[in-house]
Amino acid sequence: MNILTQLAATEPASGGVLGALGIDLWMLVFQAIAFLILVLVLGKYVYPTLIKVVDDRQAKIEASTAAATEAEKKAVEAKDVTEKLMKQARKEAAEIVTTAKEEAAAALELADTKSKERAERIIADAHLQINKDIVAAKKVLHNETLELVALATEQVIGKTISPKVDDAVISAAVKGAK
Amino acid sequence: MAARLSRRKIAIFVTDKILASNHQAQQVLRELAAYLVTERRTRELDLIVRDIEAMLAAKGTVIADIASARPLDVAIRAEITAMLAAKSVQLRETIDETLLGGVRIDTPGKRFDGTIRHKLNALRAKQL
Repeated sequence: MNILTQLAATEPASGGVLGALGIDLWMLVFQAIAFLILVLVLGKYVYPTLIKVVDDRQAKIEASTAAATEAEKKAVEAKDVTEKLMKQARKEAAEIVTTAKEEAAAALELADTKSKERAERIIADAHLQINKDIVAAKKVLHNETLELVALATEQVIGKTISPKVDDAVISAAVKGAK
Repeated sequence: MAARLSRRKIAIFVTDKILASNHQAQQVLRELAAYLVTERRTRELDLIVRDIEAMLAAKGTVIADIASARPLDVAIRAEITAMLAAKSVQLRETIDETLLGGVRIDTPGKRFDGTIRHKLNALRAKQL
């Protein structure tokens, strides 16, 4: 049972039940009225504002939650797209690397062929030049030998030829001229 | 004024005179020299002498210039005279030590070079 009901049911000792409890009725009424007024004022001016603030906050939180969810969703989608793009990029990179390797191999082969041809040409030119040099050296050697032989003969004969030998030479020449 | 005589006519005249004088050419040559001086044709002397020698050679008298490194032996001279195969041969000898050896014979219109110098020059000419 309600305590107020119990208190109301009891006989007052002196001044009633409220007096027994030390409660001033008028004061009680006054306080009740003040409380009601307070409740009315709060309900009319304070609670709506508070509720509005709370509702706004809740709406913001919900919006944020939705935005976060959307962002998470977009992030997942972006991750998928990124993975797809990465996969595509890897594939393209692999193709590029393969193509580059093939081109490099072809270029290397071409350069190798060209260098071999050039080397062969250089060798052929060198052989040709060497042959020319050999011919020129032989010619120079031949000429120098002739010159040296002529000079040596001149020197030796000039000093050693005797009148007898000279007469023999002249006689042979005259007989040859006949 | 008399016409200018040609070199050929002078050569023929002098050759005939030399042959007619039995090879006593001194007087004829003096006359030739006097004529050339008088006619101011001394610059033609070498050419005229060459013509005279050529004509003498054609008539069997060969004047040969012989160049050698040493004086020639009598036997060698005889060989050369025989080689020239002419009725009369006169040798003009010159000594040229640079010829080293052998002999060079110049006759009108011909030259025979049998010197060692010539052979060495021929050897040098074979240079490539």
